[in-house]
Amino acid sequence: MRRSGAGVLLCAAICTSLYAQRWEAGGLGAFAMQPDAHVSKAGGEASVKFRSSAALGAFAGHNMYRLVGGEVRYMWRFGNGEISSGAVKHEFGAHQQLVTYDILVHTAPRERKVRPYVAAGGGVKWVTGTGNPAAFPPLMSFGAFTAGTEAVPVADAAFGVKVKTGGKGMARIEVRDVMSAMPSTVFTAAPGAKLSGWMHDVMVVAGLGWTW
Amino acid sequence: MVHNLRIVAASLILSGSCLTGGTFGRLTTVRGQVSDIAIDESRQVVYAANFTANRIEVISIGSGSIDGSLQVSAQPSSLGLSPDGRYLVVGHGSPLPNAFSGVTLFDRQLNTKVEIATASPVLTVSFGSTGIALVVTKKGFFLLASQIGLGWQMVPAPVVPDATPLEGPAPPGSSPLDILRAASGVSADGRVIYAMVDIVQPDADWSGVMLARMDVYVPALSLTKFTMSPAGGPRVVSVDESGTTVMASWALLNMIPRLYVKAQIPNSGGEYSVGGHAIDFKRNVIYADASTKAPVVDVPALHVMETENLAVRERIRLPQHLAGKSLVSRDGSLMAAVSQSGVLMFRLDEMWKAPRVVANQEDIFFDSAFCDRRVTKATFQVVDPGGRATDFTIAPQTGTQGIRVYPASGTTPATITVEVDPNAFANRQGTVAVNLELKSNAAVNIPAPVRVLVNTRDVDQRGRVSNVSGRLVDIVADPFRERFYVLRQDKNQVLVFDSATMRHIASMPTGNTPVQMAETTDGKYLIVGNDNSQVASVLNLETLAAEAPIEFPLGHYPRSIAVAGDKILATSRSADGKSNKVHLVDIFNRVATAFPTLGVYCNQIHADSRLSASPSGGTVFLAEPAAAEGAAETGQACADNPFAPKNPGFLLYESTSGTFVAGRADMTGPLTGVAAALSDEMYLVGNQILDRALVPAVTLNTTVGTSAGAGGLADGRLLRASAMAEGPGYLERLDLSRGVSSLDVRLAEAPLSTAQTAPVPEGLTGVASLGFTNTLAIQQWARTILVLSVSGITSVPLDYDVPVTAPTIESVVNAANGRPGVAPGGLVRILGKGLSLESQSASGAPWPAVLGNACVTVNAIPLPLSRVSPTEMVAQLPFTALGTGALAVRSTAGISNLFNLTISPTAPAVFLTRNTDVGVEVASVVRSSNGQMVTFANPIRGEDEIEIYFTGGGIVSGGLQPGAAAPAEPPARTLAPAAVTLGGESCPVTFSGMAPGQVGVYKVTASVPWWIKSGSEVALTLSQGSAETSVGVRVLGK
Repeated sequence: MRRSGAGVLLCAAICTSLYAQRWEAGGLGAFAMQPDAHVSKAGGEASVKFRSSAALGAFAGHNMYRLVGGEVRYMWRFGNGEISSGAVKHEFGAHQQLVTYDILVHTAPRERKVRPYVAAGGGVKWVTGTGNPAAFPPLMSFGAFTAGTEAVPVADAAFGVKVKTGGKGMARIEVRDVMSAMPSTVFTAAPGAKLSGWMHDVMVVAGLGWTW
Repeated sequence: MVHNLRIVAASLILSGSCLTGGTFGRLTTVRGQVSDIAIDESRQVVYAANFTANRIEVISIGSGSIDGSLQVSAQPSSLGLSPDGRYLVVGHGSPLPNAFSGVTLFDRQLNTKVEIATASPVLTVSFGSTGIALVVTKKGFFLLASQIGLGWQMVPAPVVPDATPLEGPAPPGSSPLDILRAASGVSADGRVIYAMVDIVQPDADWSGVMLARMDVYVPALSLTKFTMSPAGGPRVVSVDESGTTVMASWALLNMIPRLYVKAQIPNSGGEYSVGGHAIDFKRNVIYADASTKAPVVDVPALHVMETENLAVRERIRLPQHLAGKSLVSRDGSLMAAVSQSGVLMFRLDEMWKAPRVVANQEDIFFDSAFCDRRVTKATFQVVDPGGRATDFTIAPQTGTQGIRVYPASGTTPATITVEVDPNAFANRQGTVAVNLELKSNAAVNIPAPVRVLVNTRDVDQRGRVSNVSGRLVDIVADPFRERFYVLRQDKNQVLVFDSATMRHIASMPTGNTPVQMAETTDGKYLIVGNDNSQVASVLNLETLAAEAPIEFPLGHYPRSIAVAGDKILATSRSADGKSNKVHLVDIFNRVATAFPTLGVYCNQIHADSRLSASPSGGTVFLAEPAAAEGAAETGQACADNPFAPKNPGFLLYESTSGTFVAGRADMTGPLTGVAAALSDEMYLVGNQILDRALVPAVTLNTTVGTSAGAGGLADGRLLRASAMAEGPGYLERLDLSRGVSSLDVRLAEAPLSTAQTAPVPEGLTGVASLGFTNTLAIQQWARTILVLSVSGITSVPLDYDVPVTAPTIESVVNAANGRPGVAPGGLVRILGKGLSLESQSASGAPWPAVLGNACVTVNAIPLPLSRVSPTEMVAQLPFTALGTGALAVRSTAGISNLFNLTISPTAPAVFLTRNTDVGVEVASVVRSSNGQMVTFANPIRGEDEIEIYFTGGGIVSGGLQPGAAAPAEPPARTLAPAAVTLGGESCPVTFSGMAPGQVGVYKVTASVPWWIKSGSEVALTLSQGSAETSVGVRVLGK
């Protein structure tokens, strides 16, 4: 009895799972904004960030369960690095590439037309500096951007809503926060200066996908 | 067979091959003595009167040979050819008793001749354009003319002087011109005939010279009598195109509207039978040769002279002296002249194509300061103006050291290099003048020497020297315009300069041998006194052109000029040497009149006296260098005034009263130096200040050498310049109330003064000077003091003696990182106070040894300088400096303390730039991959090639000179090898040497290993031998 019960349960799980597989893939467009990080030294402070700009990407998801799914995502984020203090600013060419995997928890089953969700996950961000390595006093006393690529681990969290658009289409809109430490090579604090704060890249993302 | 001995006369074409140079002119020697010539252009012959052989030689112009002769019955003394060339008139003036006196008329067309007797020997004959000839005999003046039906007739000329010229047979071998002493000439248009004759008037107990003038359209004579000293030789008369100007003997006379001596040949010996002249009106020049008196070297030469003032343009060497009449053909192509052994002919168009050598510069000036001891070079060209390849040699005067000239010989055109080693002149502290003698075997001209001026001075010697060529004798600053004027005596010119730029902007002609000048009170004119003209030149300062001159009484040569208010005074030298006077000039009527007396004193002064007007124009001061000529012997200056000082006299003229009001003779002569009116209250002679009564009041402290110039300043103080014959000059500012010099500064070179010996005149160029000088002028416009000096003009700012302290050296560090540690070839910073009075940077390599009038030496070796300022100097150490060195700074303020310096074989120091914005020092390290300096934003990465710029790398290969930019190929490599480590990791060095194109900057190129570790402040260490240096750089490892 117990063996068959377990087998029934296992079968039920598997059958349920097979019955619940729903794949989704699509493209994303976003606008990313980043609050400032700060670098300080005796006698002053400067703000460092990557400038708000657009991002493009793609995703592929798998709704394993009725309410829970997983999703892998790639984003290319534009946006030059910027350091500023008062009215003085210096910009440095840069871009970022992001690969994450998130678990989505929906509040409504797949059958519903509207499915709000929350997501959380993690991945890797590659930050690439492309600008001219010329000196840029006086801000260089706080720190400097450097040409080159640096990989940093990221964690992200988001909330959004998916809406069936008819047939197999699915639209979504979400707000996502990609969090990481400031890249220490592409931006380095000058000797005597200290960089503090995390890098929060807040994105408003819109997506269009196809489900099957 | 009898050879025709007359054909023995050779026609020689002389074109050179003499040791002392070529000659110009084709000589036809004549067996006999030629007394006169005439050019027959239609027959292309020259007639030569052979006085001693009783014939007229007919010389072919084309071949120069004697083609035949015309026999005459008595000695021919003169020739005249009718304007149509038909009639040749031969005058006979034999000294022999019973010889035929009169004229022989040859009709060249009909080949006939007729003789017309005169009562006394004929002295000279000239034909005018109307066919009338003027015949001068020993008894008077006659007109020879052809009258219809009567033939040739001789009638007395309307004005006949009652004169008896010198008579008597001449000693054998003497020149016929000595016997006759008469000459005549006719203007090119044939209208005016002049005759110059020595005359004796027994009843008037007078002998002298008479100049007769006849206009052939109004055939009446005007006669002028005068005396000549020296004697009136050469006895030649040349007339200009229109007859208004005539060259008679050595005097160039203006005849219309009045007679005055425009100019005269200087240094003339007055020999009757040596010399000749002709006016070439087509080319506007006068050709002249004359005997000269010692110490002038006698060289037979045709001087090409200006028609207005006899300034010598060029000297053309002759095979022998001219000896009488010279003529230029009507078409201007030929000149024929009586010479010592016959007739000389010149193709005038070919004169300028004949071989000549000239240098394209009169002076070569080397200006070097104490610290610059490098051999310097300059070049100039030796050319033949006619474009030929003419041989030449050039060499400095015998015994000259320190000057090398090469090539020493060659053919034109050639570039000559003059190399001067300042060390040979190191102790002169002034200017040395050396002539380069230019000679040629083939050239027909006598080239002027090139003057090399070498100025070597210490940096404390003030003044900027501007080279001006020639013999400079006076300087005047224009109070109305930003200009000043310099009198150039050897070229008879006033040179006009712009005050601001010191550029020569114009020249104005003067009379012959100008001596002194003065500007009129209204600023309109410059009046110039001339030692060899009996006029003072008037130069319009608005138009910069000469106007009608001021005529002085006959026999008086104006010398010193002074302007006081509306009064213009002038001194004159008299022809007899004993009647030198002071004149009052009437500039509106252009005449000068001698004062009848000088107040209560007689008007007889020393010829070398100098006039000086006070700045206000209230008074004129006259100073004699010695007692007036004649006064010392007789004790009486004037026959009618027994007051005759035996000492040099001083006189004072008051412009308001228009008379001389004071005179003294308290100082024993001879006196030299400066003479000047400082104000209406004070007058300066040498070291003595005279009061308004001309009594010595203050004795100034003795100058060094002879005073040369002086001027009064608005604050009442006096400027005085003085000098020895060579060496530096001296400039003082004196407080007259105490006679004390405030600061005696040395000038870059000696001012011109009576200390310098006047040059020996060359040829027929005049040399004259007054007994006193004043070669200093104050330019209020430009606030500068101008001094005539050895090389030209030395200018000094008016505030030259503002108190300054000598330079002080406080520290010497390397120029890269400001730390001690210097090495040969490295850049150093000298820090202190008052190092130089001005800030200046070198404009490029090679760096000069003197900058901003300051220099630096280490063990007396000058350092090339990059920049100077009162507190800092940047220089490069010589590659030979090693061990301990004594460093000193020299500037116009003096010489600094000696700073002891230790110079190591190597002392590498990376150049650092402290950027206050960045807050860190940025090392001069460059990443080759992007060519940018390593900074926090541009860190060194693995596998990078880096270039480190530093100084103090020590001696390099290739013999690079200090101050010179390092070469690129082959590069100058350090002899001491360099090693580089980064964070302890060795970086192989691929190059260590001087950075190409830079001075004192070294470069090391090294490769960074790929495994280098990251860091924000990694030590980059450069080491050479036992010396090393480190800088911190950011590294981004792979």
